[in-house]
Amino acid sequence: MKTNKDIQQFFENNKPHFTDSNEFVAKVNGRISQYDQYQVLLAQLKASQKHNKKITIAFCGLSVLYMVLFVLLIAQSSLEAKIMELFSDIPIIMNSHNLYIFLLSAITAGLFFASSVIYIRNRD
Amino acid sequence: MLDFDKIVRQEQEGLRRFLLSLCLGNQVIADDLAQEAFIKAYLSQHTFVGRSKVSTWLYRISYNTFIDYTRKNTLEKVDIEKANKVEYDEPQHYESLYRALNMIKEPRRAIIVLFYLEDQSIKEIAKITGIKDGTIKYHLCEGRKELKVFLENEDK
Repeated sequence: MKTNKDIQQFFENNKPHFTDSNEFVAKVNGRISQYDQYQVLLAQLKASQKHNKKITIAFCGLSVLYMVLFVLLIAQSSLEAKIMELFSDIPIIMNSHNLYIFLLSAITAGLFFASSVIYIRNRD
Repeated sequence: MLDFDKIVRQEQEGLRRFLLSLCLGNQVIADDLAQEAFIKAYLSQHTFVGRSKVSTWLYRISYNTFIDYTRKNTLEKVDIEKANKVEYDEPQHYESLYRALNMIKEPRRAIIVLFYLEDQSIKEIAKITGIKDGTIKYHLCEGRKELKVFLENEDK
């Protein structure tokens, strides 16, 4: 008849020991260091995304400011004549009204294109 | 902040043995689970407030990792001879251990392993497994009966 002591003895005699402890510790430390590197990269990525967002906002703000200033400047007749001269080869620009429409359309299209490019680049 | 490198060095043998016994000798799965448990512990070390021993906390994480694994996967019974060919100090000794543990069902197996192989007290086992002290005593009693039958059959 087996006793509790026999069970204790059985487990003591069959207790597994490892000969590759250093390798195991190295593996765990390796994975921890990989995780730490990943965290650093993630933080850098987040910082970069934040930076990109700031650039996008600054760019949009500047574009709007530029557009407003440009339209105001065009409104000045002295500049208008010069610009009319500059675009005189384009048949559609026959008067200042068409010039404003053309420039506003060009600026709007440019802003839309630039914003789309920035949005697509920052999407991920 | 815990000195994690020191903890890994101190606790790895016990945790690996615990998981190896739960995995019935499948060292590949056991070591994967042990690594996963250490990574989980590393990531959640800020939640350790010292209400229990570090080893108890690590055993609990390991046990939960094992339970999660068995929920998602069927634990393959390993070819004991094949499993014992590498990595252990004296391979021939462990065949009977895994055969004995194989006949004990969970969570009794974990309780038996923690009590006999890892020398954990009933209170510590209760913290690790989340089972009440009285139930642990019952499982130990029933487990001993099964082990006695096994040992008697082994002698025949």
